[in-house]
Amino acid sequence: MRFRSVTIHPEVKNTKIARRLGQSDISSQGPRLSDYRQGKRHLFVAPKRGELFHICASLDPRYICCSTHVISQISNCPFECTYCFLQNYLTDTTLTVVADTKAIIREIREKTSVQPWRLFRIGTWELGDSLAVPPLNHVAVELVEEFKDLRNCILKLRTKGGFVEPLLDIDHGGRTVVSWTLNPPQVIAKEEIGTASLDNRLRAMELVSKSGYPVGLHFDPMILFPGWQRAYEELVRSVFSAIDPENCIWISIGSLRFNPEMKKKIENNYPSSRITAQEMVLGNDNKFRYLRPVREEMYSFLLKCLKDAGAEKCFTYLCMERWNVWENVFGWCPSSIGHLDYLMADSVQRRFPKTAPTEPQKEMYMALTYE
Amino acid sequence: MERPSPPFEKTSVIAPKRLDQTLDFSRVLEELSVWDTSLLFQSLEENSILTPILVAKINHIEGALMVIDGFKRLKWALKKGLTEVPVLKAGDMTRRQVLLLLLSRYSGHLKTCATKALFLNHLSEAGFPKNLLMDLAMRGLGLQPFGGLLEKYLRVSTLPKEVLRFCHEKDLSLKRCLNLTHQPKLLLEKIIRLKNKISISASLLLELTDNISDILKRDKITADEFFEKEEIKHIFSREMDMNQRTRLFRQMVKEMRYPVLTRLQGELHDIQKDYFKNSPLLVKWDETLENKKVTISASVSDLSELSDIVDAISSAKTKEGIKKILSYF
Repeated sequence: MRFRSVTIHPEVKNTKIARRLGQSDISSQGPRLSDYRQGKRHLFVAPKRGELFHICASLDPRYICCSTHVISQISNCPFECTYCFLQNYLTDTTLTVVADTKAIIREIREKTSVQPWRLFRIGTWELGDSLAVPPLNHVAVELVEEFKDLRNCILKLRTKGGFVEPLLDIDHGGRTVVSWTLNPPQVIAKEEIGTASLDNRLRAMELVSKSGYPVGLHFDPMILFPGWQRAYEELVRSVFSAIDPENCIWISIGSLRFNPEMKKKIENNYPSSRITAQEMVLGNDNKFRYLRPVREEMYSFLLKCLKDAGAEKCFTYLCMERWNVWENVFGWCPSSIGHLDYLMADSVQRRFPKTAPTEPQKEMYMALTYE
Repeated sequence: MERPSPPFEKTSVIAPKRLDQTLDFSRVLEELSVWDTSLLFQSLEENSILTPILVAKINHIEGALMVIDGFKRLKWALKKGLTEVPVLKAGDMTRRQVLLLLLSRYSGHLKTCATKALFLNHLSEAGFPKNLLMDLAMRGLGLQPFGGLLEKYLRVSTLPKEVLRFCHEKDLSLKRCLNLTHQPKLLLEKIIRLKNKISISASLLLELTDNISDILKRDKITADEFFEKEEIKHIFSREMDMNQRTRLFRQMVKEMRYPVLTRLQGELHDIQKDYFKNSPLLVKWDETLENKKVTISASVSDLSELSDIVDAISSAKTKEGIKKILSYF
């Protein structure tokens, strides 16, 4: 994709990414756009300001959360998913990337060293896609190279794109998980505008898997439409034709959710999308979701497909779901968010010892508190 | 400092057809029934035009003289076929001066969000620049002079006339009016037109448009097709009290919007009837079916009732009923 403007902050003009971008405006301020779509076409390469490392903002004690951590390195995304919360979230919509990788790593080192026993899963996708913009994937490369030396951290790159070439020939030390958000082709075509096709995502998945990266899968948001069962069944089959379940580190499942203001935004921005018209109820976290029995049916169905595809050993969890939903889908539920954090660390350590060399201590995780 | 004033010329007469009525906002107010002009027209019939119509040229714009005040008199003259009307020429005026005159003329009638929105839109369409609208008109209407707020009012002004009339009659806030702008216009009009058959409050209008527009989208049907459904037609063709029809229509729309939830709630209510009909216990659950929790309550007015409650709580039937309800979660 081509940006209409590229602005580089003078403090980061000598970074690799700034040099790669070539001729750009040098200014301490980006265009500061407010229109969600317009901002996607303007790039601002920024220095690090304040703290970027924190726990995922979705954490809500009334739901079971995987307690992943994020670094807010990217803000906005060139893709246009109809359900994307960014359309109701960003005030400055300019696609912004923090280029100061060394400073980011310093902050991560400082904060994760306080709990050396804990396995931190750290994503860059909170406010954007980790690998959506080809020239910027080199920022991801820098992070991958830095993370290989962080003993208790895993970098999570998450994307709906298909461009992974810069990642393939670098030493990642097994400490980076490349993940894809997955949906059937009909959902990609209608609701994930501008993203890579399923075939392209699978091709990229195959490439990173062959390069030794553990692969993460996110069937989230699952979307209800006539014929969804068959579509998701085929999707799972295609994924495990592209990669071996042994290389899949974890799988998350979730369903479409948005707050009431977002509903209006989606209806205005994407009048032909029907995703907001399904039967949904408002949860305690002020988000609309499909009815719980419907969600449980969707999750259970997908779980069966995963089992049929030989992925039963992959650690599978629900994203932002209730305790009773876990029980109805899996027949059990973690006793706390810390417990889930432990179970994930334990699974990673057993299945991917290179990624998590230290055996997790259950009691330390169970004692964690979340605000 | 002496204020500059428009150089008034003498009163003269002019052919009504030569006057430009672009700035006539009174017709908008009339359409909203904000302004009752029947007495004014009665007076004109008996006295004819006693006060000259105020006209001006704005900022040397070429063309006809613009009417600033006296639109009703002009309307009456045109209707009567008069060839001349008395006018008072205010000479060249700045837009600011004209806007101040219009504000002083109409602000007393502009109390609701709908009328303010229409007035701002009227000025915008008449070519008043945005900065003047914000600095003068918005302040004059008691609004904060923010561009974003102006955009919101202009958005409200795009609502269909009948909907704006409803917004004005119910004195809906900007937020509620804005919510309506997100709804399909055709559907809004159709629901508003039902106001003689069902009693529509602002919240009911929003609820109905929200639910029906979701049904239309989900089922890929038009608003006409929705209102042609037998079950809907049946509600409107039967003789019944307005409140009863409102209740029925609202319920029907909800059931169509939430078919699975309606079915499951129906099953739960059947369990409630089977197990707790004559029980002193009141059993409630989360109607959204999200939270796995059943609340059991009981009221006591006499101590002797306690033993019945204790018996009911410990009965096998209660346990079985609660078990059945919880199985839905």
